Amino acid sequence: MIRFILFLLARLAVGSVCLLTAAYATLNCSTFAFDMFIRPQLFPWITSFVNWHHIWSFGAFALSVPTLATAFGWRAANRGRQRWAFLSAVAYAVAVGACVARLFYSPLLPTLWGDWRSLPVAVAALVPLVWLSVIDHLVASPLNMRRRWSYRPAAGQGRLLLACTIAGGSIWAGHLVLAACSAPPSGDEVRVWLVTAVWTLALTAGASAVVYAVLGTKLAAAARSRRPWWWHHLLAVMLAALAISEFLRRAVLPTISVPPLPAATVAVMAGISLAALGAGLAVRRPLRRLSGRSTAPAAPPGGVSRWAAPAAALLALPWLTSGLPGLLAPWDWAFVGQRLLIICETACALTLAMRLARERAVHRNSPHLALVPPLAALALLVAVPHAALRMAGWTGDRRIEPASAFEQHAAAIPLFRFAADLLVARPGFDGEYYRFLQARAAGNTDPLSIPEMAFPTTASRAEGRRPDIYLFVIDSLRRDYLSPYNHAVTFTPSIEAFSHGSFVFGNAFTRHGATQLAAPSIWAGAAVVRGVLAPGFERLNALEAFVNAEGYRLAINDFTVASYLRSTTSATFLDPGIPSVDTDLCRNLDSLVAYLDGSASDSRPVLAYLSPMNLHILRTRGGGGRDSAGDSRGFYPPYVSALKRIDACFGNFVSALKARDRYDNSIIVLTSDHGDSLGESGYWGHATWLFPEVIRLPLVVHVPDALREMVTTDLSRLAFTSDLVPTLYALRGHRVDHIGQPYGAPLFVPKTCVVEDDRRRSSFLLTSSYGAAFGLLRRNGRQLYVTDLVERREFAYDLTRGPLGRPGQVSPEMRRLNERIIRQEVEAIEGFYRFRGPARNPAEGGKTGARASASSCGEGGF
Amino acid sequence: MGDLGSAYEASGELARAEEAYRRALALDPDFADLRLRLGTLLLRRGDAAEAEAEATQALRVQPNRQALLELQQASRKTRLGASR
Repeated sequence: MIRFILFLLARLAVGSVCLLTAAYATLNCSTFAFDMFIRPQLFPWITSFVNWHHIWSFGAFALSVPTLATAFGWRAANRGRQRWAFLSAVAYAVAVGACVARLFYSPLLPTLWGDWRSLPVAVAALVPLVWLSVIDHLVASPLNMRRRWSYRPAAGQGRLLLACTIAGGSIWAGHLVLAACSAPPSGDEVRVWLVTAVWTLALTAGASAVVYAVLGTKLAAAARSRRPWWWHHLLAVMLAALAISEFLRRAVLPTISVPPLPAATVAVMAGISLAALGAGLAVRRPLRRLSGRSTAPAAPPGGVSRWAAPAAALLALPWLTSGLPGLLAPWDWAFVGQRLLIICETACALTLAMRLARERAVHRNSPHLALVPPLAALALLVAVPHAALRMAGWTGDRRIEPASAFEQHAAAIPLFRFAADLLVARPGFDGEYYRFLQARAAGNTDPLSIPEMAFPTTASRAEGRRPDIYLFVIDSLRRDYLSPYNHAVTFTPSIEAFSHGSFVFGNAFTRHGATQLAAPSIWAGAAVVRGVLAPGFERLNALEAFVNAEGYRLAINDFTVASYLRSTTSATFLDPGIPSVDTDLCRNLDSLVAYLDGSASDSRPVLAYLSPMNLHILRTRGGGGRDSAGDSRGFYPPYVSALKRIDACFGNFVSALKARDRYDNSIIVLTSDHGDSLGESGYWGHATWLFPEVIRLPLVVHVPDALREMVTTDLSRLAFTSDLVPTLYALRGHRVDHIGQPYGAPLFVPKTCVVEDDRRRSSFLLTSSYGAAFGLLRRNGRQLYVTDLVERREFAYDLTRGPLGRPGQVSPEMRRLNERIIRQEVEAIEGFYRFRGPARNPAEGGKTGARASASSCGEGGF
Repeated sequence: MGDLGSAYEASGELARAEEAYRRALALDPDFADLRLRLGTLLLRRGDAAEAEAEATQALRVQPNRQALLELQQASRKTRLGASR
């Protein structure tokens, strides 16, 4: 047994190195994961693993070779299985040894940089696991395997049915009781709650029936073969591989935006290798301890002590697992852990139920009778929603419609949601719509055709001194943490003072969650699509065109768009050499002031674009300081601490501008590219979702006094960061208010003009940069609807209620309406960026959105 | 609702128009254009003080807008004239 434990440890070590290598290479397959984790070297232990990868690989190889000692011992064998085992082991030692030796000569992982080699490396890293498993199967004796998997098919099926019933029933009852305890139904809610209970019973019965059908089919298929023990093993490995690969492909890899082809390839390979690893360990496991249990006839029914422990564990399981999602919540990608937890819970429940079933005498059952439970579950799945709908019709109580009842009482329970997603895609769920969005989110295979931007490229004829322009796009800055937007905030006095002489836009949003699209959207002055930030982006770069046309010099600290600027653009990069994640507003501002002083004799105006990362979740999470003001008012202390610091620096910069007599002739914009979830509903960060705190932004704009007298605006109108560049064009006297979606529109119009109320009537598509999440802002930003494909959920918010809005129930009508508009808007913007005709008409961009976000202004100008 | 108010106003049903504007503003209090329409209507009906209040409130949302400034000025003038 000790030998086996050593063998097991060695194999697990080898498996860990192979899986880590594959995981690192897979991260390189995703632009998002590469930018988020690899490029900023976010986790030191990953960097350390990569730097020492050749040593780790050698260690794994050195550990794996002794585990093949049996195969090497068959050197003299001339034919048959033993000969093949020996040859395979030698081939393994030579081939893998050569690869490891090459890694010493030329390390591979440190040179992976998000390039095409990532996928082959991810696949190749898993090959040794499969190879070792093949050798293990050749080494294991057929007698060992035959004895291990001997069984009696009929009794096995009967017990399986009983076990599935017990497992399904116990987890359904457990979670339902938990749900009732956490939110007890009261008064007239009882009827809705009962519908939910029956509906979730149907879902759980359906899931149990599927498990029974799959495992039962496996048993039956193996029983019909000539070598049942062999087929039993092979089918078990295939099922495990399929389950692992599907879990990775559907639940894990999309959350880090791995493109579909690499995701499918890595998932399949990982599924095969992990299942093979487990199978290899299983066949090499000594049989002695198992032989009595496996080969003996079914044990007779035991006493209370035999079934009490598994029964108690089964009852406790839902209670134990219900607390774990809360523990997982502070971690990013908690929902992946949640899904894994559900699978583990189900597997544990089934294992415990099998132990219970083993204690029951199960008589040979008829194969026809075995079909009854799955058919009953199917009937229940079909009948319950129909019955509930009819009942809702009779009683006029819409709350007992399956969709509403489920959303109200069961959608928050991960187990039921998961079962609904798997089996019926939830009542009211439109699978075709989800597939449509999934295909768009995964990346359209048609190449982009990046258009020429629609703004004027000639210098304006506006008279007077051109103002300096300072754009502060502070990554992850939340508006409810700023005093102009929240009176409870006391820690941003400088921004408060700045806001007094400025326009504070109260209804500003980003069109995109996360920087990868949000930043290009600002520069383009338009909503964008994935893939737009690539060579060719310069055609769409309206801010750069503005800089060049108006004769500005650009001072920039930005890591998203900077590398796509034209070489002819006069740009000075502030604080070069500092990794993007470490960019600091205070340092940037010191450098900017030094730059202004150093170039005081240059008559050209300055346009500065700074996007510091002080408040990014990577900086504030788990680090930063503690701030008493934050603690006492429910703000996130590390965030408050970082914000206080940059507020002071911002105040100093405004003072520096005033001291240099530049402030009164400056346009200063304080905003962010996106917000951040700081623990709301258990979410942290902004990468893959579109919650109100992520898409709602601060937007404070200071314009020179002379200009201020000439303009008006609507501070309550829905504003986007993509409106900033059109605003700059308009403030320089260009006419840009006739350009329609996906372009933005000027925030200011001449004071004699009317700011159109078109945004009160239009719908605006929001997309996440990395995750498959699509949102719709309607009614001047008062209503938000989000389809989150990562979580397979819909959210609806009333944004008039509080800084974070109030989540509402998604009714079938609301779902239908929003899904239709989202679909239209996605098609419209895809059409815009993939148009092949001779010319585009931006005004045709949105089918339901504003044709042109214009002001009724005639030919008037500033 | 705002459009309904305008329709009533066009047909001379000022009381109904006012009611429609107020209902619309209850749903969307920051809709400055509606306040302008309501303020103008109120001034026509001789309620200068309330018209001025509407203009002032709308100017918080649409600062500097010429039409609102004019409404505010006209209301104030009417109100002061009446008080003399």
